[in-house]
Amino acid sequence: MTFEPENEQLRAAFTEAAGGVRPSPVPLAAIERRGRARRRRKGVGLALAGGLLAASSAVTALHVAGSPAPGRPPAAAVAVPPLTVALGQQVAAGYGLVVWLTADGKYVQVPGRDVEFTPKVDGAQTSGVNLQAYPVSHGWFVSGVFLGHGRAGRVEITTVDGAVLHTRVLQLPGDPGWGAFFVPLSLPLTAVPGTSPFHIAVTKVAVYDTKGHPITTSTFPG
Amino acid sequence: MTQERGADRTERPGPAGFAAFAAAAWPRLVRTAHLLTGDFHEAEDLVQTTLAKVYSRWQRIPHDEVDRYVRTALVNNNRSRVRKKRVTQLLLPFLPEQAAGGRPGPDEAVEQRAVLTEALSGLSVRQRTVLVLRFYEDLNEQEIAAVLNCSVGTVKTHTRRALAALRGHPSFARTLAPESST
Repeated sequence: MTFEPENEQLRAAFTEAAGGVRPSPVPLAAIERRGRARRRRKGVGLALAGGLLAASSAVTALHVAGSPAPGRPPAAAVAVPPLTVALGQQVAAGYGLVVWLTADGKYVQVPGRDVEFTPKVDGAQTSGVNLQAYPVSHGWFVSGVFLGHGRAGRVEITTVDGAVLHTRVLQLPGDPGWGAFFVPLSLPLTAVPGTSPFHIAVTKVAVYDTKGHPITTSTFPG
Repeated sequence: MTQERGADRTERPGPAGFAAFAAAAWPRLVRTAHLLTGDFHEAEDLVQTTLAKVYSRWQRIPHDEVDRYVRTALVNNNRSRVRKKRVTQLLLPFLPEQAAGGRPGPDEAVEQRAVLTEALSGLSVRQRTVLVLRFYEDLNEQEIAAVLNCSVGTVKTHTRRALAALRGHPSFARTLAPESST
């Protein structure tokens, strides 16, 4: 609570401080160049469905499409209950990988690498899904962040051969409006050589609430 | 500042409409970003990043929601910036930017501004954002809650704690009315 005189003093102080800032001329060409590059990146499927974008530099050159690795049978669909985690609670993902959530987003620790952070929001988006993939000794560790209200009951990834993989879902208590998921390394989801730079055999990511209603869905170009 | 809002957006949609919007909004956004970051160059980087994202979605942003969209994007991008910086600080033994000190922008020697910047630097990102939106952007509590995607009660809590911190700041407290404690 504030008194009106204090409010006016604060407004005056903020206005005075801001007024002393002399912005440079607007760098319109640079802004539009970055905007076009961003649009192109989104266009190739790095992050889709509502535009929630990946932030990890490790995956900025990765897009989702292509065919599965030869000889890999479709996975059996096995649902794993979502895990409600506390802030900072570390969840082992196998082979030394650790995933945890904070109020701001998802963290992944890949052995021998810096911690990878993906924010829960990008710009003013309110729903969407993104994917990140990190090369590990046993293939690619694929994880993602979804944005959308409701408790997630499951997150399904559909591969190009029609197999539905149930991911491990992490969410903070309550209705934080977002959550994270990762594909256990034991499941047959791999990156395969394709046109530059890589393809991951995913065609769809669907997030459902505990009653089976969709929260958000992303489809990826094949 | 308020009169700059929504200026020159009659040409939407299209690249020309974005150019006009960006030119009109740039000064206000940089000033807001400077209050959020405390650094002239980080402020311009933040606004440039935000406008690049807006440009990539320009055709899909409803005409009457551009200001709200840009403000929300600016705030969210600033929070992301702080988080990344925090991670960097954890990974590096020292932070070169901080060790060298921020490069001063024009007129940064103005005492009022320096005092406010120093006082704001002691607040959390959310507390600082709430004050900037309230006392510079002139938003009410409901509008701030919408930007931050939180409840009005949370906004009030951030405001109360932020103001308490400012009142306790040895230099900035002198700016406030002495009788206005809570």
